[in-house]
Amino acid sequence: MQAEFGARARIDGAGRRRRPGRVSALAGVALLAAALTGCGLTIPADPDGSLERARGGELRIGIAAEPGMSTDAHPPEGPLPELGADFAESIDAAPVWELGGEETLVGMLESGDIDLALGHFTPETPWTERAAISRPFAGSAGGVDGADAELVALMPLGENALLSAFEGYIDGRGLAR
Amino acid sequence: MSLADGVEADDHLPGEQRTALRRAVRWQIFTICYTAVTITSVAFVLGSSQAMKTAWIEDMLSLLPQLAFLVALVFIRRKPTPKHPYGQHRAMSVGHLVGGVALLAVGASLAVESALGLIRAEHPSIGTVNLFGHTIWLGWLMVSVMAVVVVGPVFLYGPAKAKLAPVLHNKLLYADADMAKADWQTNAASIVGVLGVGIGWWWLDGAAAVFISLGIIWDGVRNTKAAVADLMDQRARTFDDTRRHPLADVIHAYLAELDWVAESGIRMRDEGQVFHVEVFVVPTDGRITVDRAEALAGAVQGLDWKIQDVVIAPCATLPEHLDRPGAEAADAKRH
Repeated sequence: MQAEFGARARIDGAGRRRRPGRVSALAGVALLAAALTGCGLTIPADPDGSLERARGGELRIGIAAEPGMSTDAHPPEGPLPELGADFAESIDAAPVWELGGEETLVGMLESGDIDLALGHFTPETPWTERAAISRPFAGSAGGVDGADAELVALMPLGENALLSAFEGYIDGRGLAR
Repeated sequence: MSLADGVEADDHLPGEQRTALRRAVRWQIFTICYTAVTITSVAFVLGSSQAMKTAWIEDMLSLLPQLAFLVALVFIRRKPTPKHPYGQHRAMSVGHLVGGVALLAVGASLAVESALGLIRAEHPSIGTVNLFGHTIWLGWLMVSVMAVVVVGPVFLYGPAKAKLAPVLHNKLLYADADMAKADWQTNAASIVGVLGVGIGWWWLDGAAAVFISLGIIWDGVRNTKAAVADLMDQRARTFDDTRRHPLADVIHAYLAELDWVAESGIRMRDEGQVFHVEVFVVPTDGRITVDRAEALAGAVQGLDWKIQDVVIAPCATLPEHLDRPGAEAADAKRH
């Protein structure tokens, strides 16, 4: 009697397939991935096309002036503007400067008025909900505290091609921390 | 009235069930270790993708059934005592219920969070990592991790537990296996979400997160419903809750053989892995001896290992609500 029930139950367990095709679904996803990469789509891409617009055109850089990192002159001078200009050059763009306080710059990132914000933003920055944060890089040597601070750059949320280009740039320059 | 004493689960388990139980415990421990590795790996590549975060929380939630199972095992082994006269088998159903409610609550909160993210048009940012001197988009790592970790639930422990659950008549184990086997949907959805972000379709991430949370809610609803039904003493059903348990008809067939029984009906409830049965009999000559009652209780208990506790109740007329032979058809109509 017991064996009979055990056997019947086992057939039930193995015989019912309510969710067919899990292997084919995974294969489909893999195929989709391959197809997307294959047909010349750049991954990652910017939903708002920031990087595409900047290439061969202008990169709008916001600077939050900080002693030792950047002056508030127009155009600003110092290690941060130099970094910004160098990055712009690396993507074949001309830098256009905007000056403002941190919150102003974050607001401009949100409204799409600038592409990149540089300032004394550290990895502990509270702006993570409103801006994309880059990986940390070496800030100005001999900055405010005389230390080479660890800094991050802010970019519009979700502009992942631009973010990746910037992080690729700091990796290439050996600045990444 | 005669009562066959409940017994300790382990004492009474036939060989096949004993082996199945031992293997189930081993698979549960394996699952916990595997899931711990999964949770850690996913944590490294989480980024700000809502789909990844949702899948990650689902991984954590998937530990609940395993923990509930292992904890419940301690209790169901205990013998009935004056304080717990039915034993503590219900621990399995309680674990089932707790898991179901947790899935429901967390799934709902994730669904709301993901939907709000979509409405607010939050664009997920997924940056890069520097791996051995190369700048690699984190999305590729997310996709790889999700594709690799799906192997465990879908190909290893999901099917293994699905085979053991019916042998043990363990609904918690069955629900656990069922969720594991469906885990590929979560992983596929999060991969689609991340690739969507990759090609600039930011909304696909939130959409994938909503899809995953709906899956969690569905699991929660199913588990809660099944656990509550058993705790409410519904008539015993099969391990997958699809139909009335066929053991009822085995008992009816046995009772029909007895010439001193004019009419009979039973109440059989699932205590979580084992059944408690009350047998109502109308004796042909209106009399029943203690010997007969005790022999009947023992014989019914001997029909199957799942029958752990048998009470014989003689009566002049049978109450209406009892389970009678051939109740299968009526049952099928209702469900």
